[in-house]
Amino acid sequence: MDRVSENPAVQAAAEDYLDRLRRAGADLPDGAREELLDNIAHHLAESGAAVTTEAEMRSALDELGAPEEVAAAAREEAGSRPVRDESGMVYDVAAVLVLLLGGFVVPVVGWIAGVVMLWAGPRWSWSQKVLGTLAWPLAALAAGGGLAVPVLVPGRPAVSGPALVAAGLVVLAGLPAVCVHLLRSASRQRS
Amino acid sequence: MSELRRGTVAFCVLALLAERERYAVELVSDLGAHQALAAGQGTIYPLLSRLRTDGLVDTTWEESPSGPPRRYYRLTEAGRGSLAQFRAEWEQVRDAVDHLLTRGSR
Repeated sequence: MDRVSENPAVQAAAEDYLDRLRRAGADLPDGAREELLDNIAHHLAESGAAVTTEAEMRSALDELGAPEEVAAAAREEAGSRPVRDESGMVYDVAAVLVLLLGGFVVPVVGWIAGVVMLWAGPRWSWSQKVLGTLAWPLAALAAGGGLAVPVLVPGRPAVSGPALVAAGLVVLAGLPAVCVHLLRSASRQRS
Repeated sequence: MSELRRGTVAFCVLALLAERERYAVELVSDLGAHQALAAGQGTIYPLLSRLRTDGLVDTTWEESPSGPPRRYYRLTEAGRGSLAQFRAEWEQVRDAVDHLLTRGSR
C-alpha cells in the first residue's frame, strides 16, 4: 500500500489495521472488499499525512472504528443487494435435465445419474426428492399400463385409444410438471 | 436502533452532499461527529460505495498537492431526487412519531 507516513510506528499501526480489516472482510465479495480496503487505505494516507505520532494515528484508527465493525457494515451493504446464485442454478437445472432426459442418452444409467444428482441437491426437500425419483417409474408404469390394457382385458381392441391417451397425458404432462415444480422450488431456495 | 440508523444515514450523506461536494475524509468526519448516526467513520465507507453503485452519488479522484489523491464525492440527479423524496417522507414520519411519543410520556 501507499506510504502512510515516514514515521515507522505510524506506518506500522496503519498497516496492522489494514491487515486486520482484510482478515475481517475475508468473506466479503472480492470487489467490495478491495474497494473498502482501497478507501480505508486512502483515508489512512490522508490521516497519516496529518499525524506525527503513533498516539495520534491510534486516535485516528479509533475514530474509524474496529476493523470488525467496518467489515460488518460492508457485510450489511452486501447483504442488502442479493447476489444471484449462479452456480447453484446451474446444478439445479442440470440435475433436472439429467433426471428427465438421462435415460434417453444412456438407458437406465443416465436416469440413475439424474436420481443421484437429485438426491445430492441441497435445495430439495426429502419429499421432493422422492417425487422426482418416482416420476419416471410412475410414468413408465402408466405408459405400460395404457399399452397393457388390451392384453389384460380380453376382447378389447389391440390398441386401446383412451387408455393410450391417458397414459400419454401422464407421461407428457406429468413429467414436465414434476420438473417444473422441482426447478421452481429450487429457485425459491436460491433467492 | 441500528435498523433506524441504517435506513437514515444514507440520506444524511445525500443531504451533506446536497449542501456541497466533499472529500471522503471530510464527509466521513462530518457524519462521524454525530454520535447517534455512525458507530465509526470506517462504517460509512461501505455505505458510500453502495450509494455510488446505486447511482446516487458520483466520485472522482483529485490530485492533492500536499499528499495522496483524494476521493471527491458529489450528488447525482438521481441522488437529488431520492433525497427530496426522503425529505417529504421523513417529515411526515418524524411528526407522527414525535406526536405519539410526547403523548405517551405525559
